Amino acid sequence: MITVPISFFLIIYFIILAVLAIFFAVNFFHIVFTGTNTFSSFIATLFVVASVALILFGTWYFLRGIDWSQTITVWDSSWFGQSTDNVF
Amino acid sequence: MNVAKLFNQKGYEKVEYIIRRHWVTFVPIIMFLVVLAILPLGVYFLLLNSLNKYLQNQIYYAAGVLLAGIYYLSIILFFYAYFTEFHLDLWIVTNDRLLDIQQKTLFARTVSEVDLYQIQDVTSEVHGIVPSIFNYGNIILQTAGAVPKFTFRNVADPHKLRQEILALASEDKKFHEHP
Repeated sequence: MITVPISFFLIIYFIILAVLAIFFAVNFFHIVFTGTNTFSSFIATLFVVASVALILFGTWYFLRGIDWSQTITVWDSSWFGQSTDNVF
Repeated sequence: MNVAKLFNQKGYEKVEYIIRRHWVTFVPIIMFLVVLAILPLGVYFLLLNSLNKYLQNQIYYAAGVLLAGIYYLSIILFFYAYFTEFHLDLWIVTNDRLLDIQQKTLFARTVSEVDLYQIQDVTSEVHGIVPSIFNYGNIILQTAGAVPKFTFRNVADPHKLRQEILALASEDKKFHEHP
């Protein structure tokens, strides 16, 4: 049986978050470095920053009470019946 | 707006127009993203009774919240990427030349240019109900330059813009005929 703490979910979440942050930065610097800052690009960027802040806050808010030391079973031979235990 | 970073502006050159696609063409993608954003909420409320027993379990609950966070961040990222593409897809008309800057994807940009005096024929077209209501359409320019055809897609007031480009081209031709 293989078990992992659910904080493993958090690690995956932060890795994906880092990838998304890179893409956000690429978009932002595309607008800034091409010198095409306008009112509409400012509003769009503001909307994006506010939305991201809201989503991150919401995620933190809904996960406040979670005990991250709990474990989850990712592999158990009994899922496939007795046969795998008796192979050898 | 300083667009000098997109092209090397000559000393005597004056930017006459910076043209982008009409904002109405951005609306369908916003509607699509709104639907994508509402979809999980709709599914959640529809399946509330059956999902409830899973959400009592902290592990499923935590996984669900993290997944929802990633999902909504991806929607926002998609919006921003599309906006950047929309924003950087532009046409610049100066008193000397015309630049077509196409932001095809986030990492692919094409810049073509033609001198105004090389413009031979300009066509403007407005097709469809929505373009007619909001007065946007395409301008097609035939040129004698290396790029034989330029298309301004979904720009506002194309008929008026066509006339103004023709007037600028006519001015530039005078300059090149009698330098």
